[in-house]
Amino acid sequence: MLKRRSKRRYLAILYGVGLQHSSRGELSILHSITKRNSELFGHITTELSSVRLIRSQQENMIIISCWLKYIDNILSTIALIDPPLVTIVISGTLKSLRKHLQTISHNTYL
Amino acid sequence: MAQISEIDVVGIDYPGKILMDNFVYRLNRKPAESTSYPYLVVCRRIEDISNSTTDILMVEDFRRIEADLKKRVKKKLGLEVTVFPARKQDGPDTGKWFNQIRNLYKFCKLNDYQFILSSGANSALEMVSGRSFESILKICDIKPENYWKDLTEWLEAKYQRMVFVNA
Repeated sequence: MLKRRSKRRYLAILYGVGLQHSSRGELSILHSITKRNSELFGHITTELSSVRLIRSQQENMIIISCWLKYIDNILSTIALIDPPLVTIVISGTLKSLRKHLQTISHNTYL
Repeated sequence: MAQISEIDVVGIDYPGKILMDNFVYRLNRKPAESTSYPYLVVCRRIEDISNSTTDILMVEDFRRIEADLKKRVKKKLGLEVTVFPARKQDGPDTGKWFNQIRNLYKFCKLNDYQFILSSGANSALEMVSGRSFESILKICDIKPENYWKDLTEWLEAKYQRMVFVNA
């Protein structure tokens, strides 16, 4: 039997300038994502998705991670959330996600 | 924003001047003269459709207009569902919204209409990334590659029928 490690995906998510950039603000965004995901796909799926918050250095942006198996649920949840959030980069590693983010000018999306 | 969201062509309301390439402008009626920009004529109500000029009908409640669509609407018309209203819906209503997309897609395939899923965004932050569109499509059992291929072909056919000035 092959032993395969489950893969995670890292997502950079942009949020509105009205929302405060603080650890409390970031946690409330994470909470709104998991809450909406539970509404749409159920509590069990949300728990299995294992959505985690990773701090971002950039303003108005959070980085989250989830299991690859549930990425479609999480992406559609983000598209269907109010106040709106936009997924701007998805990557298999945190390092490549941050590298990708550095190539995007901050003015491009705000 | 469109570029980082992996969207090649963005449809927006015509602001009175041409902004840049990769935009297709959404108009309420066909311009009287040739234009220097690509456009699509968008209609919000089935009663207002002009079969000769309308390119897209926005569908808010598919079940309500399903019977009317076949009678009133010409083939190849774009039937558009927007993501924006679903953001404000609760879980059960969003579930119904997903089912509406699935049924509308089947209807479009069977009757030769073009299914269009759009963000309905009023600002850059309300835009939906290409990858998120694909996730919504997958949940509705629609293959994203087929959707993008059909949409590109439909849009190219629309471009060909337009006459541009200075193009």
